[in-house]
Amino acid sequence: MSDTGRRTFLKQSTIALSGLAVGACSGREDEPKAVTIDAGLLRAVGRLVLPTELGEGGVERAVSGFESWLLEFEPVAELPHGYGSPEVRYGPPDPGPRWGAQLEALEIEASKRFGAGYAELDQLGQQALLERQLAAVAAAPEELPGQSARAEHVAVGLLVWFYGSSDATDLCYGRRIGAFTCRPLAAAPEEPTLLGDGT
Amino acid sequence: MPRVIETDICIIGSGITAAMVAEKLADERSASVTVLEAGDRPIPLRERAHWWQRYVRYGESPWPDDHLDGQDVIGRPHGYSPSFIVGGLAMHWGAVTPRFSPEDFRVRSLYGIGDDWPLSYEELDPAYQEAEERMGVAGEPGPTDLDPRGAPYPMPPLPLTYNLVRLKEWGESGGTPFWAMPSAKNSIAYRGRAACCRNDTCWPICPVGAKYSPDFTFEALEETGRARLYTRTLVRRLVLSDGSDRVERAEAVDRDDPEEPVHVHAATFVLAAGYVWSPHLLLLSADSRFPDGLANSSGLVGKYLAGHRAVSGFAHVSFQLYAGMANQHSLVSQRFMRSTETSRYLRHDFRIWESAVGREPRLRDEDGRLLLGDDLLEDWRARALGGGSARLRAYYDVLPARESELTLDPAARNPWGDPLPSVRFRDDADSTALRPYSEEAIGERFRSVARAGGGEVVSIRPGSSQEHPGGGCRMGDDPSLSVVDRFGRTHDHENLFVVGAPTFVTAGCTNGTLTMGALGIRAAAEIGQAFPARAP
Repeated sequence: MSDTGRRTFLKQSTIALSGLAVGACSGREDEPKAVTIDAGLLRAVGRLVLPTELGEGGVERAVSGFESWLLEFEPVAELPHGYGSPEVRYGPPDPGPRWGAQLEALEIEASKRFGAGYAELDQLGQQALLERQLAAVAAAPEELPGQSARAEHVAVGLLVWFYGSSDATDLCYGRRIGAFTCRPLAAAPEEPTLLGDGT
Repeated sequence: MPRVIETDICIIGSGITAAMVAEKLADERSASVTVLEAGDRPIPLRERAHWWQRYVRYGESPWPDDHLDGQDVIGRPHGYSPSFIVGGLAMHWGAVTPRFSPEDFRVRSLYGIGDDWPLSYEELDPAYQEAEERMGVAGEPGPTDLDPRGAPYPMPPLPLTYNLVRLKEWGESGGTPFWAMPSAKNSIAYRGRAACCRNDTCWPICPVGAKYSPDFTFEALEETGRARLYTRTLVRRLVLSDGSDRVERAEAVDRDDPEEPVHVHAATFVLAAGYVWSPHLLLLSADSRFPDGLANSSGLVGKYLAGHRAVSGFAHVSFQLYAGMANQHSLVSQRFMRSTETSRYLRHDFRIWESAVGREPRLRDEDGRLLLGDDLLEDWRARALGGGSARLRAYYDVLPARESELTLDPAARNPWGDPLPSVRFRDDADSTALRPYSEEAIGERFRSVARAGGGEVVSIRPGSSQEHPGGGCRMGDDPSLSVVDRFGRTHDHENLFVVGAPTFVTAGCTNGTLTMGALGIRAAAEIGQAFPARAP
């Protein structure tokens, strides 16, 4: 994709996501939010960093869910007091612009180095560029950050979002645990059923 | 000209103890009850699913703006969180409701250290029961010798999850009995509120209202016209009647109209503003006859701030557990609350939770290799499958020094010009000397339990702060050694009561909220004697 074509695509993606944001946050007086995340590049990163076990549909669900999460993100929201702490805490600013710029940088670097869009590179090529970028911003500590929005890099933000989900826990254990979902009390003593077990 | 409110009973603060006092008085006495709260109302139950979702997705506070800018505590107010909101700090609680043990009330008599309370566990038992019924506590009685109680819990226990069933077997291998932690969470529908459905966000918000919080009580009292609640009304001073030691009025500021003071006249005043703001208000209310503050002829208002300290740990077990089944429900044992079982004084509770420690997804392996895609999931599975993790914690008894105190800091003032409280906790000499021993001995108990069950403790961390604080208006029979009597009535002012956490002599060695509520129930019974019984 040429620079002009890429920029047009980014602009169109931004507009599309802004449209999605209208009315997304019930109970809040929100203006449509300009999200500078390139949907195509985000999916390319998603295919790279999410497990293949999810399949194409699962990756798409995860990436779409992450996009929705970002659209409804409230910058510098008040957080719960730490247990027994007098400090009133606030969350991070909107990571969208930072993450959008990172995706754009992947695209630019792919174009300059290989004359191709990032999504058009093979997996090894994509991974090499992504790992260079992660190293450059020291964005991959050992532990996943507690909140997606605190992730320095968009790829880590996506991983935090996915691995913090109930679906990811179920996938890891191969069981229907359903963390953070409404579940019958009576079933609590039972071992979680196997995924794929229709009973 | 001040705006004047007339009432029979004025309750200052709207936390959990205030709720117990207000409801009991409204149920049993023909008296008008007025509650003053400096903060706002919380979001109503019907909107909590939305805010629950915001918390789960974004970590946002479901109770935003529950603080007053500039109304801060100076120093290191361990265990204090700003919570100016109807419901108080119990909008943030985990709804864990153990009772103190009989020994907590008699440490001087039994062990020769600290101070006894002026009442016994047996005297408090009926009030414990009533508080459990009013809040709605689900519980499983422990062995009678470890968990004495006069009547059954009002609700059956929350069932143990699969994880906790396995961890109970594990914990008990060493001979220590564990049972379900009693909790103010509905195991069945109770008093118009739904049963728990394990959303696992008891702290900070229950989306279905299965967890008790005091706003439910106040909402019901207001709906039935049995109490009036004034929000955004910060009491700044209690004023005595001319020529009398009785409190005549509370002077408050309406945060929406600060130019017009609010004066609340009442027959009885109940200070239910927690361990910080209750002694703070008494000190602020100093006058020419009580230059050291109201209720302070003993000089003990603000003294003997008490808490307990934690030792926390994590263990790995060899059997499969599934992180995420219910990480806020736990097992508890009161065995070590009942007896020290050691040559030196040591009493503590013992709790076990499921945990994911050491078995969480991560970005780098031990060699620092970046994990992406399938590598990350495989690494997680390799550590999560075939074993499990447990969280362990003990709160051990810490006895307060007299100098563990709250004082006024004249150099720091709130937006209305009043000095702010400065807080400093200090162990007494016995607890100071016992601290290293206590923490080592508890750690060894953790290791012993883990070994007996075929596991391994992977980390132990003694806490630095005193949790679940109380004191500052300690109760006692001797007016020279205490601020309030065994019912919470101040020794100096017959129509002024202090209730809940501030009246603690010690903070015991387990969560204190139910004890605050029970003390509130006892106080309400005493306060009610001055008013006619409510017609059935």
